Amino acid sequence: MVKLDDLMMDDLVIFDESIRSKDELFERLGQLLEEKQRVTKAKKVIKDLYLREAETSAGIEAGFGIPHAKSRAVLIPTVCFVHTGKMSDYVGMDGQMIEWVFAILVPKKTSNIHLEILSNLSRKLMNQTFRSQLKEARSAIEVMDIINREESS
Amino acid sequence: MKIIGITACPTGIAHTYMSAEKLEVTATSLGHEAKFETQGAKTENILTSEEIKSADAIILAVDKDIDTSRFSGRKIKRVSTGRAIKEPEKVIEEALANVGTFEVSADDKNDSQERKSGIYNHFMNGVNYMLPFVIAGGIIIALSFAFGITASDPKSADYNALAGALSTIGGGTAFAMMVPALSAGIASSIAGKAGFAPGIVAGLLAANGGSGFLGGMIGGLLAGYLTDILANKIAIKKQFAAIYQLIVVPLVSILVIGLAMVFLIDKPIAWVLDALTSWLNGLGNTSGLMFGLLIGVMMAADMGGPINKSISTFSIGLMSAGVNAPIAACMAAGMTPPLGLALATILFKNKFTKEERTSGQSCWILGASYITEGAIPFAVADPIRVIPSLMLGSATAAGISMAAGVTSMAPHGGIWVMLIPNVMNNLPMYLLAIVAGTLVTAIAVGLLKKPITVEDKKIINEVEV
Repeated sequence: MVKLDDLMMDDLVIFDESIRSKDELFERLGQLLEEKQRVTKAKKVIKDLYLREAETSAGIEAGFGIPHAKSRAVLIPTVCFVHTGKMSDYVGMDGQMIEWVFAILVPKKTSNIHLEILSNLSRKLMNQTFRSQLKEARSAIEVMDIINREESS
Repeated sequence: MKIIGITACPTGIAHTYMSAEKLEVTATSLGHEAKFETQGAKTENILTSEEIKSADAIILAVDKDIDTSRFSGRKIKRVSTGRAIKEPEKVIEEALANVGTFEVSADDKNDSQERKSGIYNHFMNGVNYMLPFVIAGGIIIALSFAFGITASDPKSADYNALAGALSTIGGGTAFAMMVPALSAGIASSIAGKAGFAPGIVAGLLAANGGSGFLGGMIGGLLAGYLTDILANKIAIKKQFAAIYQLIVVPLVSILVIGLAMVFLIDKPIAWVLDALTSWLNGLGNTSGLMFGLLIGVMMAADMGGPINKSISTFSIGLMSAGVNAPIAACMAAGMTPPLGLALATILFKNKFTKEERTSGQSCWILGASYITEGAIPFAVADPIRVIPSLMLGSATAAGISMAAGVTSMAPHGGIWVMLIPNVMNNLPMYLLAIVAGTLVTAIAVGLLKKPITVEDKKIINEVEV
């Protein structure tokens, strides 16, 4: 069985309070993903993330956002967790500035199993306890623990 | 209370599921029953017609257009996924109190009509299966003509191996798959996957048995309904189900439909087609103009649907008898509906919505490529005014083409095959026919259509929010 932690690894978790804008966030994500060879070109993925944002902002609520894109430039379905500083130009539907980000990137052609995992993650993010646990997390390992626990429950 | 609905977003990854979760959790915590179908990357949690019938409120949290025909006659509350996530309580409350809901038009509620549109959908599905073969096959055949009209014939002096191969690919293979693909498409539309095999067998029997296109349509329908009963309606004990589906369903369906095609369907239809062919041939000889007008009206009547395909397939059939004028008329008549609408969206800006004006520009290319289907969105939006206009323009184009005796060696390809030498015998006259038809279509549409009113705009905007 494929699980969320196949798509997400602790080296794909970023804690960086110096990220203060959508630009910086996407730039950082793009670089990391290119480095880890999960995407072909950082630039292309950044462009696709912006394209999706242009439709409607993927900011949710309570400081969470899930920028996502289906892109030809993505090689492996990937989920990144980023704890940023408050981003002044990236706000959720409740007007709160976003600080916690799940970036979801899937290739143009993706198996249903992967999409199922991602849709499960989307559903879980509506859950308050799950969110507050993530807010408390201070390290990549803690984040992975929370996600794995949630997965097995 | 029972609350149901659908959630959907363009990428189908995140908002579809977040809004479904929010609505379900909120509804349950308010003491309601809730079920939301998620039309994401795939559709899950599908609503049954019983659930729709017994629902007290229907909520669509969608950021893209979805098919709402299942809810005909019901009041629905349509919101964005964003709003459903942000204030689910309010959305549910409003849906239950009928605030900001609108009724899905109940046009198709009538039983016989529903049935009709069902069969029509099956036919359209078949046509969609067939279309790639027609388009690719037609253009590949036309390409072989570039080497000279007889270059594909090994006995001919100007034989060219590549032209021969193109002809085998396009005419011998892709075109030969047309009717089988049509039947298979119709049958699988009715019976699902199980319908494919009996459908394709029925179609191949029709193609080889002489009943052609018409036989293929009937064969596809019979194969579909028969297989649907065998595979989906008959209850089989669980321990036998696998072997039943694997062996009994295909064996019985193919055997029965095959025998029916050979002994019952092929002969009468082949006879009818023969009679029709000789009648139309006679008509073609006596009055080219009349035949041209008939071709035009039929080509524009359903824009790529069965009527259109029956006349164009029939004209392709005439090509094998060396009669090449009707297919030229068909092509002209099939090109003018999208071309005329494209022109109309430029000439009569106030009679089209913004979306229509944008999609009008793509109609230039679709029309030039002889893809009549480009006109469908416009016709669906306003059939009573648009379809007669299209018929008028197509009849003009086909009439001129037939009267001038233009012939085409290619059955498909639009403007792109005209560029290939030797394909059209009288290109200037043909272009004139197309231009005249385009103008007539555009002007007729412009005169008949009413300007978009403020009220229309308002309705459109409300639905979008």
